[in-house]
Amino acid sequence: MRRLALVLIAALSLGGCAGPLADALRLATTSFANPVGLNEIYEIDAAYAGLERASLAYFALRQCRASETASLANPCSRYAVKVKLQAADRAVRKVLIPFRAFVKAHDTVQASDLIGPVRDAIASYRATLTTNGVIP
Amino acid sequence: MNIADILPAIAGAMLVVKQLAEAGRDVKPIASKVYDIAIKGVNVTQAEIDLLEALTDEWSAKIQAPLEPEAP
Repeated sequence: MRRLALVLIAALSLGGCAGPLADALRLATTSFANPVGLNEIYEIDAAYAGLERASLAYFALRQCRASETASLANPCSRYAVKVKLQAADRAVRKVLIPFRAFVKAHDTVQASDLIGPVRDAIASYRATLTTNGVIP
Repeated sequence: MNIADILPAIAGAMLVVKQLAEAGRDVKPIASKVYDIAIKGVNVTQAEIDLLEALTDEWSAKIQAPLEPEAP
């Protein structure tokens, strides 16, 4: 592998980044079709939808009084937790909405770089639900 | 496709299905579609994505509704 890299570097140096080899390399590293497919978008949206439904189930609980403790026997929602869930939801949408728009507008451009932050935000949303006991 | 990427979608879809069913809404299209994607490898259409995105937008609006402060 290292030998191949050296050969490539040497070839590019000698050729001034021009010629068939440089063109081949450019082709190999350029995305012409968007690798983020509709199925991937659907799976992301479905995962996000699931977290939203879990949040809404929590929001549907009676809100605890400040002096009250939430428990299985006394289910109620905490204001502070709802604020965190709202923030997590906003964080997902902050990256998800531009991602959706980008994929729709640029179906021949590389979008895989944009999907990472969306997955991260959804994972963070799930962690917020888990650490606050909304989902197991 | 990595199984770790699919599982959250299936888990999410199960929650969606359960709660939509409890709300009396037709959940079969979303449930069967997520299953078909994960298990059968079928392709979704843009219309199906638009439908799911409209639902997530609607639910987010509910989540972002103004909150009442806690009573003492």
